[in-house]
Amino acid sequence: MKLEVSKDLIIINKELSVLDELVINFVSLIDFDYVIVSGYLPILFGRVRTTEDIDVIIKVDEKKFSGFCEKLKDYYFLNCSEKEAFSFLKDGLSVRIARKNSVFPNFELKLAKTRVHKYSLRNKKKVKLNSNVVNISPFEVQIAYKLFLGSDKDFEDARYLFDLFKNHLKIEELKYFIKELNIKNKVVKKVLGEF
Amino acid sequence: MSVLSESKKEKERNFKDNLNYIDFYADWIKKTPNKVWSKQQKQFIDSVYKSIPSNVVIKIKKI
Repeated sequence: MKLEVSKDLIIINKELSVLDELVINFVSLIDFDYVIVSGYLPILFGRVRTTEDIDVIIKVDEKKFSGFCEKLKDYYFLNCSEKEAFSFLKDGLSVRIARKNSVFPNFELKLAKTRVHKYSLRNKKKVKLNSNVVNISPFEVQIAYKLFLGSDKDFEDARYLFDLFKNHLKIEELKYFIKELNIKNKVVKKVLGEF
Repeated sequence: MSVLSESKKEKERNFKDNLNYIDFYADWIKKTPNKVWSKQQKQFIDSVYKSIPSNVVIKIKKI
């Protein structure tokens, strides 16, 4: 795998799957702060699996969000109407958006509310994917959060990202989030080994 | 050994096997040109999403 990793930018060139193309198209419509988190990240970097949804953390006010909705001509809201969407977000709920004539994969948008969300937005990485750019959450947070979520699939994603990026991780930050999320040493050792 | 304890051991063994596979796959992908691994990944992902029947949408909308 040829990857160029610098402080805030990762450059990767690959054959794009339909999922990558969908993500590129969707984020090209976003003109406010966002990061992609969770299951799409290991897929972006080569893990062979699918996902039902692409989780996106956003920071936006109502006016900007309304402008974004106007651009969603090829998409529709799955779990609310366009009018209800921002109040869903403000209440801490997610809104799901899919391509017209499909249900999955869909984009699950959430307003940044928690410290983990806000940290992810502040410290986002840009990924130059061929000639496109997508924003992703830092791996240190993602790996710790996957350990926190705790399903076998989450543990496998955490191990994969750790295996792939261990030479680039800020280990102190990873340890900080592991501690903050109260993940037991036993789990860390079982999934990531000693580090 | 009870069915429960036998199954728990099997579950734990499967989990370790899966993590070993992840290590193997991560090692393989690091050594493999992007064009090669991403072509295989694309074939798999595209085949899954393209196999979803369009009538799934209609069924879900009716619920």
